[in-house]
Amino acid sequence: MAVIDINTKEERQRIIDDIARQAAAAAQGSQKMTNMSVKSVILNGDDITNIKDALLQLCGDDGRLNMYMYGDWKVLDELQKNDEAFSLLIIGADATQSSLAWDCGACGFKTCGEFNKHSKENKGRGTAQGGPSCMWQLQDFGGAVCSAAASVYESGVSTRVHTSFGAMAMACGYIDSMQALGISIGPWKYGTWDEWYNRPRMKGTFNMEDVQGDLMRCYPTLFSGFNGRGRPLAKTDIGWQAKGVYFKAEVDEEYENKRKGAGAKFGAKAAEIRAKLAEKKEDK
Amino acid sequence: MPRIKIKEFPEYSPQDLNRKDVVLQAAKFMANAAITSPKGGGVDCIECEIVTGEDELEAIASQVEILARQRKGKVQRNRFQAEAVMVRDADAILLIGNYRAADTVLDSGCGLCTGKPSCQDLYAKRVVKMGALIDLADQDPDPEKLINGPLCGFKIVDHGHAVGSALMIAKRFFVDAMPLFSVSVAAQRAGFSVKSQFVTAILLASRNKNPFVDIVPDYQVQSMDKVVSTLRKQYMVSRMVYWYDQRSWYPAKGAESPTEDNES
Repeated sequence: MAVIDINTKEERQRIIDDIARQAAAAAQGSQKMTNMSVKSVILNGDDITNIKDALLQLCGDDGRLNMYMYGDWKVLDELQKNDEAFSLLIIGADATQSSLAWDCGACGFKTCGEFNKHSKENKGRGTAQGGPSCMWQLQDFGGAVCSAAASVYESGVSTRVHTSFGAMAMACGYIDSMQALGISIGPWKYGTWDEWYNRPRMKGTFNMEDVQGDLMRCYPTLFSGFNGRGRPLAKTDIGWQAKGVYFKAEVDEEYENKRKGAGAKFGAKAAEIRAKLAEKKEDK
Repeated sequence: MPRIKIKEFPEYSPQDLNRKDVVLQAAKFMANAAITSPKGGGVDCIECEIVTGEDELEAIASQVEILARQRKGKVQRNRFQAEAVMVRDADAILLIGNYRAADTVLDSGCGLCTGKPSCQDLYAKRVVKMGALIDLADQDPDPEKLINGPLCGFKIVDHGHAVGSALMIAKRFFVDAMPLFSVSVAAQRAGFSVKSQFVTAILLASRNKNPFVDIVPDYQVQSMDKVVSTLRKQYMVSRMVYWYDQRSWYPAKGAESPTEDNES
């Protein structure tokens, strides 16, 4: 009998990949209401670098353009810096056509035939996913992803369902599908809830002003003073009543331009990665 | 300690009610799995309702039969009719409803429902007020649609997470579970999960034979329920028509004469 030392990166990566394989099987075998099938790919090593590079374009270099997505990037970056065992499971599907003939109307069309015609003519991609979609197939897709994530959860390693990783995998050409979600598998270091939820690696990334600014933008009522005049003052600090700061809906050209610029950079980076992958495929 | 007996037959006997109670407990754990499943942005969107009892299940089954009659295709009509029987055979139904999919959508422009980086197509099909607030109360649902769409695709993926989690728990407890489209629509029509715009019904049973698989053609007239019902009918008639009171006279075998013991 051989002694297997699991304290090496290689052995841990093997275990993580096995968990990913098992999760892919759980997705495939999940109970479904429709006849849709899902496909899966497992990414690790350099392919994680590609996902990470594409993701950063949308966050801005300091993460302040999209603080939430930056959290996903930051963890990937730290994992690679520390050479930790980790994999991404990407699960994809195509719910843009329906052969169900249930004619339920959930998609907004009276019949599946009308939906299929509209979908064929208007098939496209949004900020993260493709559509239009049959709602019952989307439900089955969600069920498949959840079954996979639950399978990882039960194995005891860190995991989370990520729209960001799924969208990046589609954009970079890792999976040929209209919908995709990513499931993080690992790293080995922390327990189930720490890595992708409490995010210890984000420590020191943002300051208090970043956090307060984020919350103020998202929940202005939380920071609103007395609204008896119909124009509550913004509670910026304890002296807010003398400052005359108000919330206002207006076009933010500066942010919008930054966002569009980031989108263009992301498109270019994704195209570069796709070309690189195609080249690699040809070499094989 | 009281003894708890669990047995499938007779229906609704104390031992059968104990069995059904196990299914009810499993249904509650399934509901918990649905509620705690991953949600986009961690936003609540799921409500659960558990339906048990003969009258309640019958109310849903009869709605499934109405839906079956409305189906134009023979395959779907047959399928729905069989599924109405499954409702009656179920010990419980777990309804998982999504109460955000129609009017409090994710608004991220993800592309799932429109195929575009904007939710505008969805809003364009709704009555919208005060800028971009969807007012479901001011718009009659299209009577030709079974579900009041369009719905937010992202919320439906979340819904799928909930249904997937619930089904995993059923598997773990060895409770037979079957999510069905017809029952999902029928349950809402029967007045269940009224707050939700998208509902998935999961039929649950814990019997010696899974009642949701291995069915015969025209199941609605050949189900075990029908067989038992006809047996009750036939047996009573034959007992009344040509049997004699064995207490006063016991029939002899073949040509034998009645024995003395058999005579009164």
